[in-house]
Amino acid sequence: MQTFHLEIIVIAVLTTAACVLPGVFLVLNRMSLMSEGIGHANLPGVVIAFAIVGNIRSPLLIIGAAIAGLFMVYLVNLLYKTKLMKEDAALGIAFPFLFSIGVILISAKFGNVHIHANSVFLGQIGLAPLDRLVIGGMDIGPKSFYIMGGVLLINSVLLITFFKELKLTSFDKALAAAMGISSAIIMYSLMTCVSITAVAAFDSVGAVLVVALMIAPAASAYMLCDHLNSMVWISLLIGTLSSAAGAIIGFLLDISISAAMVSTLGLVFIVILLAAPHRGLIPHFMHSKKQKFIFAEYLYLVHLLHHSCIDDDTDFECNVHHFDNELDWEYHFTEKIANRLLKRSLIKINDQICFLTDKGEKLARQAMQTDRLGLLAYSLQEKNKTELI
Amino acid sequence: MSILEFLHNVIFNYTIRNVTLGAFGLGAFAGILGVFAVLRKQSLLGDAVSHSTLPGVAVAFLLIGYKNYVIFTIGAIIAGLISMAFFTLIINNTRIKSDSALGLSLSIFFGMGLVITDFIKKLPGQAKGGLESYILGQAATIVQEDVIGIFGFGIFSLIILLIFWKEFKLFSFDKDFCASKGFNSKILESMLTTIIVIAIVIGLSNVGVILMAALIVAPATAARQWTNHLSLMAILAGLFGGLSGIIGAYVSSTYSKIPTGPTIVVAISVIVFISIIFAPNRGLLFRWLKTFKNKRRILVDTVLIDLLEYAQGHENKFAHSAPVSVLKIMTHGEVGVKKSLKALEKNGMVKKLPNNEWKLTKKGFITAEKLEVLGNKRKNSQKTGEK
Repeated sequence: MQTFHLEIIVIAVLTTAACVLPGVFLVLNRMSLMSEGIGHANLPGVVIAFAIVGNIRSPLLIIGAAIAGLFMVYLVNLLYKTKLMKEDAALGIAFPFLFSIGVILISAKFGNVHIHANSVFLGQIGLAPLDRLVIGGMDIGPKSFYIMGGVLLINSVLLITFFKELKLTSFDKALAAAMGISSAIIMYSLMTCVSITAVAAFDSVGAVLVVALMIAPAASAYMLCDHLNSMVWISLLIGTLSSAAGAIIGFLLDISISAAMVSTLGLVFIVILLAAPHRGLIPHFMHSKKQKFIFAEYLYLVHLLHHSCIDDDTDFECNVHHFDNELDWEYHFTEKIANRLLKRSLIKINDQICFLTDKGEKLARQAMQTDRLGLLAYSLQEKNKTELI
Repeated sequence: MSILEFLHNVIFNYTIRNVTLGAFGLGAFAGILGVFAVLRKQSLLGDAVSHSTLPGVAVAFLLIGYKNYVIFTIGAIIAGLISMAFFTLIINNTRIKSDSALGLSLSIFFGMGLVITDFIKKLPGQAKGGLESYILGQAATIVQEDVIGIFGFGIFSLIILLIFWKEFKLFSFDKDFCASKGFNSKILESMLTTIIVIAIVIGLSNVGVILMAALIVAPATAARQWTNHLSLMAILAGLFGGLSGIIGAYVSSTYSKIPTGPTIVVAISVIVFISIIFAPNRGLLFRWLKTFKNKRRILVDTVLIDLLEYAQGHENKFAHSAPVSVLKIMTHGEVGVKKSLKALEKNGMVKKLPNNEWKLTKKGFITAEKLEVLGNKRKNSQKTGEK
């Protein structure tokens, strides 16, 4: 690996870290798609700033873009506040409108400036190390280092300073208002951060990747943890590691580095989505399957209890082959449940007739007394106990 | 180009006819189908789906090796549907909210699509130009086959929409009731999503990713302001969408430098802004007028009651009159006291005395006392409510 590659990886990691910090709060505040909107609404800002300054490398372009992004947020709020449309519809109108104005301005005024599709959607992180910062004749590294490093620094300082306020507005707006924190100011500051970060990152990674960098690590971390602090750290870790890995995959396969980064982030998210403890799809699925059995077992026991109490046609009602009729179950399922209960010695079967054991009767009576939630909790507890025994 | 000239060109000029018809069909079909997306609070579905179609198009290209509108469209529809399934899987089974889920499916699918297109670029000797324009869209290059494709897919989904109109309506407004009536809401949901995906995909190659998102949301949002009926909303959305398509085609054929797609979006956005300001009953202007009128009416009542209270505070209440300055103080400096008095005078409730003071007439007394009783009752009921 050459220094060139190493520099790209460092830029990728810096950009990811800078994007992840505001991204966490976007995800928590259900405003993830604002990043997509801002990423596109920046365009007219850049064009107008370029028309005024006339220099494509001027830092004023970043300011123009950031202002355009903020204007879009303002427009969305304005449309939403009329209460004539939902927030997502407001966003869906505002950002294509501004983006279209940007495209029309470009075609009408600068018809000869060719916008390459890939550079808009993907950026050119592979070329970032070529643009170097030279001070006093000395090469002190690519410009992107300093731009993204600066944005990362600003974001971290703001995050640390306003952590309490951000936390409060994200989780309890009413309490925040009662404590004198204006959630509007906090949200606009957050959006300013998003806007500046998106513009700075846009140059190296493009519009779509900005969305991925802001949302994917935060959403992955959201699947894994319950504390804001740990969510910030975990999403930083996931984000930086997977974008570094993505960059390396990009080198190895010789494909677009930013596309490889998005795909890696996506794959990491999918793995976490499937396997995250407690919340992942697989544990979730297994848990609900287990619950189905637990519920069925209780139904079986209670049914037996009911008929042993009234003591009527026990031979018929408590016959093993009667359950699938009575409870409307599949035959195999009934058999399975009966076997499970037998194993835990909650019932015994004599000549095709089921009887509750003492232990089973106790459990069934308890099930009748507790509500459903208590029942489930009890059953889990009981299961752990039996496993211990 | 004048409008007459434009009409002439629409009939006789091949390119302009195709662009205009294509833009019209696109706007109209996307507008009608978008109604359901907007009502179900899935406005940004369009944005997500249109980004997620890329891997489908790329894989379709890898499989057949040349450009073909129909096969690309089928690939794109499949990819869009998979991404929607991914989206639904996330929001139904995890605590991740719909906005993040949309953003995730959008960026992940798009990123993977870009990886595949990168591979395609490296394949030797293939006609791979056009893949990008499929995503960015070029309305000005619509040819006759595209128009046929747009209308074919569009009419197909419209027919499905009409057949299942009642079910979709029920499903969009009251899911639980729909399920209790015995309709399978899972099937209905996937059907609705499918036709919305189709609507998005047919427009994609012509106006591009971002602009297609607007064509789904904006016509429906504009139409919503004018009516409370679903059928009328769908028709209006179709009209607005079609109209903005024609405006886009007209403007871009008149000024050569202005692209069609973005112009369509700007046109439909302007229609939205006009709708939210001027629409009757819901619009901002109407609402503002209503508030203004209500304020006026309340002020008239207040002045009437003030006159009564002022008179009751004095010995001979039927003979007592009040100057305007006192009434102004009693209403806490509200503007329009004099106007209210004039309005009352017209109804014969008050009388102006020669010394410029105002006095209640008999009718005025009766009305004011009624109002006061009403007000006291309301106050009492509020108090008991508090208890």
